[in-house]
Amino acid sequence: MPDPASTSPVDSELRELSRWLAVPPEPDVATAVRARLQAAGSVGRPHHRLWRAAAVLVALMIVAAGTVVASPQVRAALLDVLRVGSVEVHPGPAPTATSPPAPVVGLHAASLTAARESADFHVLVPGAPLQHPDEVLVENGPRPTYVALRYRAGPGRPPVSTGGLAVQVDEIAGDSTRFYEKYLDGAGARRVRVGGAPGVWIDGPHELIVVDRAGEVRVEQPRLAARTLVWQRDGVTLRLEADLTLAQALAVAGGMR
Amino acid sequence: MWERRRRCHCWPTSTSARGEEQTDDAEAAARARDGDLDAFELLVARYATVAHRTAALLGGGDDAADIVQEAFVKAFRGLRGFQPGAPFRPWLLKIVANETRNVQRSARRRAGAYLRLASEPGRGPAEPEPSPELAAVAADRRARLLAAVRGLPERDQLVITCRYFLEFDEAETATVLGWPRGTVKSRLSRALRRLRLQLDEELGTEVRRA
Repeated sequence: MPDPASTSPVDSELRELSRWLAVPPEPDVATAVRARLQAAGSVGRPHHRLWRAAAVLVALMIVAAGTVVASPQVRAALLDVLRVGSVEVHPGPAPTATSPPAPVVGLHAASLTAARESADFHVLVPGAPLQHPDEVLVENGPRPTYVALRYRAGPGRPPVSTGGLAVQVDEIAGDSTRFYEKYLDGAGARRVRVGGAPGVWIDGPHELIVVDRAGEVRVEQPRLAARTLVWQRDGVTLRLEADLTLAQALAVAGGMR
Repeated sequence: MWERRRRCHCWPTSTSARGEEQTDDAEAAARARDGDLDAFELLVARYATVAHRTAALLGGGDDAADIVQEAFVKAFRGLRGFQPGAPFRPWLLKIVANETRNVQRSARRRAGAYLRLASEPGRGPAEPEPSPELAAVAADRRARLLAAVRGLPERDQLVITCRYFLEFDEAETATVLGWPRGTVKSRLSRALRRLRLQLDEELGTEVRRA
């Protein structure tokens, strides 16, 4: 405490002022910290896989909640992550098993034409040989900002990597829907250039969590994503997930119209 | 008469309590260093509130929650560098203060404390309700004092924030801000002198006007 002898008015008034200072509400930091430490494998003890998945989810939900108060730059700096548009790539431990494909909530199937008409941005589509997607998913609600293109297994397509799907392209306009990718120890994530713009290449299966524009975690079960290329074009964040080499992925990216 | 021991309800500062906690802290820190998350959680629970207030007032503002989370994660990873037996609280709060500065820098925000008035006071000792007139005068006085503090140079704001609003002692302030103790002392007395001068000047102006 400051010297009790100096009990001038300013001294006591400063003490009184202290009670009146605004401090933002304090969240439950203990849970978040524990989740992050466990998810990052900072501890030597073996941990249960399910608990770890839950921990990652909690940590990322808290990160998502943080979007309300922290600017993207602040959060990226804080978390030491690779960030491209709406996608954040975090270091993380290796997943040990595959999960079924993500349940789709908050999205509806649509034709490519309908998706292009309703979406708040120009929906890009890969060129040959992929071209027309087998399934198009569009965010519910007016002026959707998120569209997914899905391609099933077939001749001339990359091997199935995610629960029956050969390729998934995610397109996110703005900052509303967020993807969190946790790459494992073996697979690296590195910065690449895609058509001159900065991007990230994740070279192997990793955990993926999606938080939709309502702040809800739409993909409830973290799944193991395949190799993934993330980049931005005209303000839209693009995410290509398929078992492709970087060169192949870059070719697909370059051919999107 | 103001009460010298008056302080925010929300964190322990009394010397004897801190002495006991230091023993507990040292043990918890030692266990956490060996990877015991439960032990670390004890430390998180104990210091989350003061860490949050520190991050907010030293300039983190609304980013305090993110800053504190990051600081605790860094503290856990940095436990190897923590000297066994040293007090844990100032060591942690220094990490919080550094993290706050980093965030301010990366967001290209102005450095300095983040001081705003709340609409309601934090919990304090029970006091008789003042008359509306007196309450208005007190509110006006608080607003002026706050404006005067905010008008001080960055380092003056920081030392006042540490000593009065965070109720750190001199040694803790020195650790958290990374200044020599002598600097804390001289800065604080200079800052208080500036404040008194400014408030007296304002009062003088009013008296002349009246």
